[in-house]
Amino acid sequence: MANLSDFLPVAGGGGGGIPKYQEFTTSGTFTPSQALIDAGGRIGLFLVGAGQNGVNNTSTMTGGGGGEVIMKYITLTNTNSITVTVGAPSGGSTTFAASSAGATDEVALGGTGAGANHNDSRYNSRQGAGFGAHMRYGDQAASAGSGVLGYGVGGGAFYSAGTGTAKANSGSGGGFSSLAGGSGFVRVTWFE
Amino acid sequence: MENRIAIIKDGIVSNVIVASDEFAENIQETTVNVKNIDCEIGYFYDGANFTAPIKTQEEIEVEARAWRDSELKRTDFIVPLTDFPNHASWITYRQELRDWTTTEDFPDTKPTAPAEL
Repeated sequence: MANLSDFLPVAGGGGGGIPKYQEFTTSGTFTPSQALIDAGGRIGLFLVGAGQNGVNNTSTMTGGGGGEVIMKYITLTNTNSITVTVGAPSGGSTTFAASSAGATDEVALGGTGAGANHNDSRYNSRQGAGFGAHMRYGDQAASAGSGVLGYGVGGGAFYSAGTGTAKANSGSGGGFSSLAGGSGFVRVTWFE
Repeated sequence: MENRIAIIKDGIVSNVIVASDEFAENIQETTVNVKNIDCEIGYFYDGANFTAPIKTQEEIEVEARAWRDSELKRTDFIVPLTDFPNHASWITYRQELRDWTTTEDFPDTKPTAPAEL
């Protein structure tokens, strides 16, 4: 007769359990544990590039673009430390240098300059980056891009939806009045 | 305010990150604390000062065309309003915008709108 425990998942076997995570609001290093590697080395990455600053010149009020938001799984194969850099306003890239641990380096690009719109190729090259709202005096303001899960939101123009003062580590663009964008962010999640 | 560190490769800022000074010391490339300095990716660094990059002719022309397009869009509503003040001048202005990219004035001298909108 089998024991009930024979049917429960073992640690690292998938299903059940509470994920471990590490968050980076400033640059640092992530060191995979041997238990993580023994469990398959799979980690979930959430990378956010920094947002761009907004501008307010003589004819336009434009929000900065939000930083790129990347969510993906990668597999590490050894316990070498990984350098993590968190992008700074305005528009710094956030990186996860996983090649040191047997995977591929990952980069979330920073937000593009204020004034570009959603048709701009610079936005199209960024995953989940919210474009900054744009307005010329006398015009209706365009809406800002929504970003992903509250991260990478575009900066707002005058009378427009979007961020005003971007929160730190949000990856959001700054509002039109030359407000600073938000810095980047990294969250690593895994089971072991 | 967060501590901003510029990473410099070959005299050009390749990235700006949030990091402690201790972390920056371990980066192989040249790093400079730019917490209170105007510095973005692409800026030049001469060992003492940062300067913004000069735009290429192509970048200037792309921005000029974007401005031209936004002007045409902004004045679209005037076309059917034949009693709009200075209507004929606005129509002329729109034609000048369309022709602008093929003239010697492009991209340095913009067509002038008849009035403020």
